[in-house]
Order: sequence, then C-alpha cells, then structure tokens
Amino acid sequence: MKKILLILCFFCLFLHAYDENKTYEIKSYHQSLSLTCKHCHGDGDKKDYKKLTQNDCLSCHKSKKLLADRLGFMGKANPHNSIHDGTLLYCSDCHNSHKPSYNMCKDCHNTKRWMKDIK
Amino acid sequence: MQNSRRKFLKTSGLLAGVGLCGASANASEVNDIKWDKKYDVLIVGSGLSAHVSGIGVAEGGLKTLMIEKMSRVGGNSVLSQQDFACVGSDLQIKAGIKDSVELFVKDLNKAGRGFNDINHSIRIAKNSNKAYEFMKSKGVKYADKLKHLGGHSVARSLSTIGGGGTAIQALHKYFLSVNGQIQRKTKVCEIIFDENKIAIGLKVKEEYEFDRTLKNDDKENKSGVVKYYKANKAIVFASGGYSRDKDFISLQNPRLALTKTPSNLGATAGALKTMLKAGAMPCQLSLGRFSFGIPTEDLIYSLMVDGVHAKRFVNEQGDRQGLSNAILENMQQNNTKKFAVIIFDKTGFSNSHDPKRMQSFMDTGKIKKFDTLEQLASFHKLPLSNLQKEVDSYNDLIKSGKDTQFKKDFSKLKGSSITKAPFYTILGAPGLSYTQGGVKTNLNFQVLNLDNEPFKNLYAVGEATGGVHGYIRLTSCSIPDCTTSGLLCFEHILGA
Repeated sequence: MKKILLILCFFCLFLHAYDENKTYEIKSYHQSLSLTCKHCHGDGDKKDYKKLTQNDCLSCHKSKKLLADRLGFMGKANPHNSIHDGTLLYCSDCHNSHKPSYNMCKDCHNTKRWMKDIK
Repeated sequence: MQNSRRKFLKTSGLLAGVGLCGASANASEVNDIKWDKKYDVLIVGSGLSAHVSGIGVAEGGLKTLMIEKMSRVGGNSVLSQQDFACVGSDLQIKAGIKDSVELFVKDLNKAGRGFNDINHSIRIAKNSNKAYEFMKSKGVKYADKLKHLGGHSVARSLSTIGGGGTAIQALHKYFLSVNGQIQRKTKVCEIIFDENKIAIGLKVKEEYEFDRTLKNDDKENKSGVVKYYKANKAIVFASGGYSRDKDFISLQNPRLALTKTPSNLGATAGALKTMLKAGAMPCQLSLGRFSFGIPTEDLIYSLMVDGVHAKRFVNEQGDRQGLSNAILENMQQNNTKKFAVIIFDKTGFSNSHDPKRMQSFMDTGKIKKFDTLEQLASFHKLPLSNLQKEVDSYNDLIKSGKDTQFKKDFSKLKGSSITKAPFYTILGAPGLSYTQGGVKTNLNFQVLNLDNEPFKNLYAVGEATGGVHGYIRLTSCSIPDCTTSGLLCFEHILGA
C-alpha cells in the first residue's frame, strides 16, 4: 500500500512540475494594457496560481449588467444577455485568457452573420 | 486498510485529478464519512423541475442546495420554448374552451400508445392548472393566447413569454430570493445510504470541468475534487434526459444512435447511472422522441429519397415520429449514416405554410438551392441516374393522379412536383430531443427500487423519470410533467 502511495505522490509531483512549465501567454488585449501575471494572479508564488473566478474578471470589467448593456445593440442575439441565459453565464464559458476562446452560441447556432470570432 | 486509504485520500488533498467518482462507499464506511457540507435537501440538476421542487422546499424553510455539473444553469429547459399544455387554465375559461382532465388524459394515452403509466398521465392532467398558477406566482409570464397544438383535442397549450430561458431566469431569481443555493460545476458521483437504506447524502465532485471535446465525459473526465454532502430530508434527482449520450443510447436502442440531438451538451446518462447503481428501477430506456428540422406539414410537397441509392422509401406526408422512424429504419437497412434528402421544386417550396421560416433556413444554409438536378446530386453525393429515374417516376405518379407506391394524397399537392427549377433540399435528419426513459417513481416521486418499493428520501422528477409518457411524448407535455412532478415532490418532502 505504501508503495502505491509513494508512486501516486511522485506522479502528482510530476504532473505539477509539468503544469508549471506550460506557457501561459497573455492575450493581445491584455498585453496592450501592459498587464502581467501578477495583475490577475497576485503577488504569490507562481506555482500557487489558481484558476480565476468570475469575480476576478469583474474586478476590472465591473459588472455583468454593464457588459450586457454595452452589447445591448445586438438585441436578442446579445451573448451577454441572451434569451437563454440572461446574465447567468460565467465569463469563462466563452472567454479564455491563455488559450483560444470558445463561442458557445456556435454549439447550436450558425453565428457567422451576427457575430465576430472571439479571441 | 480500506479505511486508512479512504482517510488518506480525504485528507491529503490529492483527490483532484485522481478521478475516483465511480468508487463506492461500503455500508460499513458510511458512519466514517466526514460530511463537507450539510443541507436539508440536495437537488441534482438546475432545469425546470429542479427549480420547481427547489423553490418549494426552500420556501418551506428547508436549507436547499441545487448542484449542476455544467457551468451553465438550466440544462435543456433554457433551450426549450416551454409550451405548456394545461387543462382548466384562466385562458381556457376566458376563451370558452371546453376541456377536461379526461380529455387531456385521452390525448396523452393516444400518444403514449399504452406504453404510458396512466396514473402519471392523470397526475399531469389533474395538477396542470395548479402548476400553471404556481409558475405565474413565481414570476413566469405567459402570452394571453392559447395554442392548439398537434395531438391535442382542444387549444390548451400556454406559450411562455421569452421561452424557457426567460422562465428559468425568473424562477432562478425567485429560488435565490427564498435562500435557495446553487453550486455549478458540481457533479453527482454516488448516492450515500445509511444502514437502513435511507438516502442520506451524496458523494460529489466540486470544480468539475465538463469537457466538450471528450467522447464520453462521464467516463473520461477526471476533473473535480471529491466531497461529501449530507441531505437531512431529501435528495431530488432533477437530472434530465440522456439524448446526448451516444454510448448509452447505442446500447439501449441502436436506432437512436443514428440521430443528432439539439439537447444541451450535458444531457448524458451519468446521473441516471448513479441512480441505477443505487438500485433504482429503470423504465423504458430505449424510447426516444424525435424533432424534425423542418415543419412536417410542408413535407407533403416534397420528394424524399434515401441518401445512398436516391430511392423514394416513404409517404412524405407524415408526423415527425413516423417519418423519423422510417428514415432511421431505412438508414439501418442501407447500413449508412447518410440522412435522407428532402427535395422541393420551385412550386413545392413556395407552397410552404411558413415562408419566413423557410427563408431563415436558406440564410443559415440548412436549406440548399440548386439550378439543376445534376448540381443537387453532386452536392449530396447521390447517384445521378438513380435520382433522375426516381424523379421521373415520381412525376409520372403525380400525373397519373394516384400514389400507387406510398399512398400520398396527391389531391393536396397544390401543383408541387419535381419539375420546376430551382430545386431546394434539406436533410431528413431526425434529432433526438427527449428521452422518455428514466427511473420509475411513484406518485410522490420517490424513486422505486427493483422490488417496486420506494427508497426513503430519494426522489426523481421531470425528464429523469421514465414510463410517464410512453411511446411518444405529446407535444407541450414536458412542461406540465416537470412542473407537476416538482410540485408534488416538494409537497411530499415538506409533509414527510
């Protein structure tokens, strides 16, 4: 049993090290504001960085209501205030900071005519 | 040994990524469980039936947590139009429409073809108006005109203003206002029972990241941190259907596996399997309800051919369940995944009862337009000579005035044939939009075990239950099912 646990521990450490070496590129729009890792993840050690939550996004982006209003001109197709979800979606349902974002509307709709690709 | 391993895993914080969701707790270990959180009621899922039962118990003063494996609230309920068949509504009275519980049950029985549990049919009809009044009182709004939908003897279907999304947003707001709590990205792993087989809690995974790239998320996804949640009063599975679960439906009914589905990505059989593993009675897991991408009323004007040989194989004038079954059966015979091709000529296309909708299909590319049959055949990879032959013989049949092949009523074609270019096509692609199967419950919505006895404190509501609707679910009858089951379920929990 002990052996198994030991192997498990090493395995996890390995995973952790691997994770740390992954690149976490900052996207152009955040780069243009000269944002660095610390601005979002804080002063702690990089290996303690955690996935951010919606509240972290909103500490700069203010409120979901504001974001929804800004796209108000899109009417029913407003992804920040859609007929399906209102303002209930998490930012991370579509937006990613270190990998390509994903337009969730595309799961069901052909969005070509009314939406640009998101970065 | 078993215990020390458990303790180690629980205290080490190494659980994330180890993916122990399937491992089960022995009865002897139950007393050792250190509960991470304690509630009165745990609800699995966040759609319509989850919200109705959740609001009821929360308003009744019980500490309630809804868990949702997806990051999105509402499951299929936020995608649905939420038409609501209801007998005895204020709108029916206002419009002077004569309806009765008996008549509604008769319609449900007709669609169910004797596969439906008549006691549940009566339950839906009897409580539909009470559920409608409940929904209104919680902020859901309905249009002031009733719809008379297919399969219903009278106009009795209410239209939800803004559709299911708007309804769920209203209910969700209400749920939070009565101190209901929700936790997303939390997946149920196992139901925990005490030594008397009373359901007392759930093993769950928090911070679950559903992965749309996996073929079988339930099986392959290792994300999440295992926790134990106590439920002092009840556990309610409002976990919906499994129309997205290819692996599961292939086993239950290979025909269903040929379909595409408009259901939300999370509509897998994971929660159903959790109940089955606990010993719940499965019911009618091989049944499915089909949606059709195009109003079936218009298909009479078309010629439908199979995707391999370009042969006509069915009377195009049919209901969606019948046509879908014919298409899928034909695909199975041809051993193909290619859907049938539905062809209109210029006249047939312009005969549509809903030209605006047809135009929107053109805009999205769902309907294609061709100047010649050659182009049509080449695009759909149909053998041209077969297609030409089939079109000719179809046109000849129309000229003769009688469909000796499949008995279509040619007197209603309004001049349609396949002669005038341009030609329009749409795929005859049945979508699996609802699964009638699930776990069997009694009329209090307690889940039944294999001996047909109710589990204590374990409930299931809405699409997660099975055997309610039978062969086909009558249109606009999921909403009265979800709402009345949620209602009766919370009343039973509060009374128990």
